[in-house]
Amino acid sequence: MNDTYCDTITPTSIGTNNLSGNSFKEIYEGIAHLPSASELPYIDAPPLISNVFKEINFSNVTLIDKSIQKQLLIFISLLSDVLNSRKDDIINNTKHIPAIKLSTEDEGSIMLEWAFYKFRFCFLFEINADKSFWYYTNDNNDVNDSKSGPIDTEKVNELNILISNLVDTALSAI
Amino acid sequence: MNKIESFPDKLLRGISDPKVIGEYGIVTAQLFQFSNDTRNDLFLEESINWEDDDGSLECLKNQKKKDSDQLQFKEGIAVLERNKIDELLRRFNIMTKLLSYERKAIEDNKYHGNLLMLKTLEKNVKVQLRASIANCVEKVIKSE
Repeated sequence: MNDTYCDTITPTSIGTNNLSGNSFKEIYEGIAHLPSASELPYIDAPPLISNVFKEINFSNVTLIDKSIQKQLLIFISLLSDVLNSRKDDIINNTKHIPAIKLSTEDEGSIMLEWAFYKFRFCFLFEINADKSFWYYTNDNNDVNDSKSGPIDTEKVNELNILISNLVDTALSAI
Repeated sequence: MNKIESFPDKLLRGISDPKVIGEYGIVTAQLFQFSNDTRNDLFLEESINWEDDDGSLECLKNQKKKDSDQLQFKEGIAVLERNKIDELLRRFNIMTKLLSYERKAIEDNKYHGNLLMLKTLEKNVKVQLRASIANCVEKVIKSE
């Protein structure tokens, strides 16, 4: 990921959202510090949405690689943005959306797991970003539906579409 | 007797770490880490208890940490349905056996067994298996 790319990741380039641009940009460029929950971009979201991110606390995991920090922040920002864009639908049709769990995996990778009743998403962020991937599995109605694919945080538009599709999948399966 | 006929309908996994339990008692894939100890058959182990009778749950509830009087599974016990695990075996064990289970009684725990996952799998496949196993959890029995 190069400096030019860094400059393209701004709130306005991602879309209509609630990103708190300054802290995001500082963190993204690795010049400041690890973020606390209050600095992440979903902080202004409605409670139903901010609940999704309430357990993501970067201070209690060992983030040994800045590539993973960047991947995580881009991903979380886009997910926050997509959820905000669906907030009317969420508020009208959803009582609760579970919180995402963040955990440290072996070899320094980080997993975000978004676990619902009978279905879940796993997002694994690797130091080698080419190996980062997502997995969805749904065992509702005794018929398994599974999908998986790469997470490429360098292709923001494509990632945004992917996250939009995954969020729609989640909202329709709740 | 084949494998399916020799195992009960449910298996139990003790929970030590509160972080693996999310809202509404939904467990994460972190509950299923699989030990890195190498076996001769290249499978990794995840300890479980087979629910042959009520004693299996009691055994886990009362299990103490090594050299301590503290309960090992103070956060609760996850209950999994074996038919769901069998479905995973059918889905994932197509060309090669990636996932399996066994009985392996140990001292003071005749119900003990293991879920088994092939050690040589790529990480993304391991995550898929672990997440799929987590979906097999029917409920969590919280500690009293």
